[in-house]
Amino acid sequence: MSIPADILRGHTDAVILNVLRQGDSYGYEIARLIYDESGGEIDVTEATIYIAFRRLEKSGYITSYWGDEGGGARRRYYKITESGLKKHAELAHEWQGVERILSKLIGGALRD
Amino acid sequence: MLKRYKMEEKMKEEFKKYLDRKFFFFFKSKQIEDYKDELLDGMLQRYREFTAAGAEKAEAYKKTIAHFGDITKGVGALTDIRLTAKENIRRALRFVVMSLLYFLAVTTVYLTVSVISWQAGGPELWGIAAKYSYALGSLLYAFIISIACAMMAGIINKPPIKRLGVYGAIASITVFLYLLVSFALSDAGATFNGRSVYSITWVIFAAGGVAIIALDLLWSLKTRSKYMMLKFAVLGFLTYAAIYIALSLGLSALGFKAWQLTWLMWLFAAVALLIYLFFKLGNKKNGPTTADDFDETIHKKTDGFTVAEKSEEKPEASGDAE
Repeated sequence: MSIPADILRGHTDAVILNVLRQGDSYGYEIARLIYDESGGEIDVTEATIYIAFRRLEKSGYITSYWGDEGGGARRRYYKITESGLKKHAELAHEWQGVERILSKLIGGALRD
Repeated sequence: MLKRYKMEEKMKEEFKKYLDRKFFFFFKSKQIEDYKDELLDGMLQRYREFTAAGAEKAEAYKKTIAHFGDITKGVGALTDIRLTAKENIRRALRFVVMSLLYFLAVTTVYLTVSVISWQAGGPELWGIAAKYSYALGSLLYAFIISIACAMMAGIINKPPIKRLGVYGAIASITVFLYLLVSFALSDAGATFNGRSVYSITWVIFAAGGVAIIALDLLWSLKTRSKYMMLKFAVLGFLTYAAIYIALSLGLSALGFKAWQLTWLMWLFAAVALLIYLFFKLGNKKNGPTTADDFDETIHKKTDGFTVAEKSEEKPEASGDAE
């Protein structure tokens, strides 16, 4: 089954915050993680990830620092902040609500 | 190991050039440069992933670029848009100033030549000097601008604009040659069958046009343009017309009433075209008639690598591509 990447739209921030919540990371690694963890169903472009980084950094949810050169070019790592952790908790809670509602609307018995 | 390192270094340079092209029109803030470094690291890693999976260098490069998508999206946050606009306005103003300086120089040359030629030979000599200096000076400008446009388009990897620049340069040379030859021949008092030299020198325009079309065709062959057949047809028509004109003029110059016979060439061409169309329409193959046929057609065109999120960016080769 091929899942359209649109399905991730709107939740990219939550996904990135969740990844960073579990350890500092960088663009390629996060894109790769999403691909592997989704069983190859979701393959986001790097542009999506980097735009999300800019957005999250501007909002103060993540910070960045330059790490050791990865055998080619400078590598920028990202780290979640305290407000980022709160934001993640908020987004995760929101998702649980959406998941519950959509499950009912898409798969549940309606007009009981 | 050393060979692999050198190949990687070369690919790193290719990606750097790509990034420089993509961000060419953005003001070079530190944030933009940092972002480019970050992208470069990501591109190298993605490239290694594709080559490790067995892709050839060029294919891995294209896949990497495609996978990254439109990297200039959202860059507004990294640079002051006012500075970007200021930088581009500054570039445009520099161009205008350079153009004005150039025309000032041409005008100075023209005035100097005019004064000297008037004093030396009166209005007749002045007329010759005036047309050479100003007309040819303007054409030189058009040529320089065309070449600059082609070079700029090469930097930002816009092949259609690059082509236009080259065609502009050829057109400038064509007009330059036409004027130079026409001026020189008419000033020397030459005629053609009792007529002015301008009645023959116009063929230089035709030659220039054919040169542009031939070059465009070669480019289309390289990039497999979908308009290739149309371009072949236009070139074929122009070549046929050129043969007709050359034959007619040549035979007329020898004293024959060529035009009364050479029109038959067009009759022959029309008959040949009709015969060709008759057989082509007769052998026309049927297109896809079922949904499966359509699916097969679509899947054959699909790249094996699936990018789940549609990229707005088409993959760019490291060389020219359309």
